[in-house]
Amino acid sequence: MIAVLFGLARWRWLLPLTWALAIWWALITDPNLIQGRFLNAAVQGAQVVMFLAPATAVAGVLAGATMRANTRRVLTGVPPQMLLMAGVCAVHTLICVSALTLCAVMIGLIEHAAGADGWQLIALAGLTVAGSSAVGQALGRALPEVVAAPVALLGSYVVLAFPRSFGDPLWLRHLAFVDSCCNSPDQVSPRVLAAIATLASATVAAALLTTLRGRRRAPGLLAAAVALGLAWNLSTSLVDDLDWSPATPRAGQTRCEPSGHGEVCVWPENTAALPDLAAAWATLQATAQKHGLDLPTTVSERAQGQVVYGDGHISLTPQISADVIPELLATGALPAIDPCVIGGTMDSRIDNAWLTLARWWLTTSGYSPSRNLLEPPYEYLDVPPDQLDARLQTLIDAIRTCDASNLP
Amino acid sequence: MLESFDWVVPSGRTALLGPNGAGKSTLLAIGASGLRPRGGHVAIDSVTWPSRRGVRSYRAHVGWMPQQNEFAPHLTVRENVELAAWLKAVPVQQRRSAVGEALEQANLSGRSDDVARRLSGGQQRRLCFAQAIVHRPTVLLLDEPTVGLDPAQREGLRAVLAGVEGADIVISTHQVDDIDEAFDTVVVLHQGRIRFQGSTEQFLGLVEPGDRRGERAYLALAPDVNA
Repeated sequence: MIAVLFGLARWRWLLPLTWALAIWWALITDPNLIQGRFLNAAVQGAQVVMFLAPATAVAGVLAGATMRANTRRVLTGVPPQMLLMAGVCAVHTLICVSALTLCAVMIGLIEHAAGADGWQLIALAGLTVAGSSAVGQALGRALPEVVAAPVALLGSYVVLAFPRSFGDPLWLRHLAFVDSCCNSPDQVSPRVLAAIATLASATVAAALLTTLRGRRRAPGLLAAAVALGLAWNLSTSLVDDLDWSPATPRAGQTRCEPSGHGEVCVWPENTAALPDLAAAWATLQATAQKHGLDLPTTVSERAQGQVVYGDGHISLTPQISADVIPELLATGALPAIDPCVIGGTMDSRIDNAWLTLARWWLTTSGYSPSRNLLEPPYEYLDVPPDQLDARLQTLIDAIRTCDASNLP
Repeated sequence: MLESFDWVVPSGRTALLGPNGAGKSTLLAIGASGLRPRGGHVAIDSVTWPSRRGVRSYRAHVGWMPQQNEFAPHLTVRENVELAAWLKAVPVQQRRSAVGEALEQANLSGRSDDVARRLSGGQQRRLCFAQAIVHRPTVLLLDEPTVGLDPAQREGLRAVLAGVEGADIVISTHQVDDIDEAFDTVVVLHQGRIRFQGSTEQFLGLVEPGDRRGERAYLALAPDVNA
């Protein structure tokens, strides 16, 4: 029977088509969106569903049309008709999930993405495909193929692809599939995942209910309408306060490595950089402690919402160069000057104090500051050696309090 | 169309005769549970239809070959019969052998891997027959099985039908000349009522021996057919 279901599902053309679409999508995906994280590879890979779903809907129409041509045989069959529809749905989902997985894994391999999150997006896209297949089958059973096929093809594409272009309401885009996610402190909002899952599941259920015949037909259609209505209400209520971003602060643990008196912690996709980070941070800490500076001993990547710049927060990019690691650590550990911007302006002495500190910390630790760290216009550290530590702490305190009155 | 209709399917092979519109296809469709009667019920042994509980069990007992071919043209012959086996709830462990036997019985073993749409008209009819018998029904309802076939194809299908054992068979036809000793019983249905039921001998005995004897016997029972 499995071979029969695959035959009814038109796997002979659907499988090559979906795989070809998946490979094409993987090759044209913007590599800058991946940021070394498999979640982003899955987000980008799962977007090919907007092409897979219409193809599957057409395959569903053909399966439905076959059932329509065999109405009497199916009608007098022992198992409920919805079992047959569900079986074809399962085959379509299997085929498309294989294509979606191929796409995400290809993107992940090309961009050396790491991490294990993102599979839920593949599963969700599979559920969306199941919905397309089920609706296609229902259309194929109800209408002639020449009408049902274009309706299914265009309908599923419009439903999936067009909400992304809507400016208002912005949340509408979150009911189709996930796009534009995620920066390293983010992950996909569970509410978005739940909304898509709810709507797709209800679509599958409603299509299955249309197979009921006889006395069950009217209650079945009513139940289908109720299921869709409830799912729409629930889904929209889950996402209607979201803007264009489906992101939420990232959950999960960072990977840490001891360094000096503290540690360095990064997201899993950046663990390759941990040894270089730990070595550089130990050197920088030694310098800070030798001069008695009140600076954090731990630096870490953090989730959105827990980010306080200058409080030991760092943010890595994939395949980061070892040359820039010391500067990344030093600028991440120093107090941030952003809070000192008041009314759009900042006392330039605060800025100069920060630059002075950063350059001093790096050069004293044996590292060369990059061109990004501008040379301060005058020297704050022109003091006798026995007063240097006190002056450094004065600079740190000035930045922390945004009070430049004690600065020369 | 069929009112106050009470009929017990005779054992063996029954030819169901009648003009177009007599109710033959309706009767067989109701018997196959493809049409729901407005009143009354159909029973096979203790299993009745319509009923809340019995329909699945009932359907598993009945084989039906509608007048129009129904199969999936892009599937192979074997896959089509497998689909019918699944629809008739043949247990998984018996499905392979049941499909093989049905194909053998329909004389399609040699074409089992061919795509169904490539079969000839006679072979497509035999495919539908294989689908109807794959679950080894106790009652087999064949609606105009030879319609649209050329003489050679008709003969091939008749030979296949002759090999069926273990099921009571009702074959509807309006080709009265098909009636011969291969049938145990002849039933003439006319305007929704049974006009005649008896053995083939009794049916043919209604008229004197000679050419087109079946046709003459039939016209003797339903003289208004051509009106």
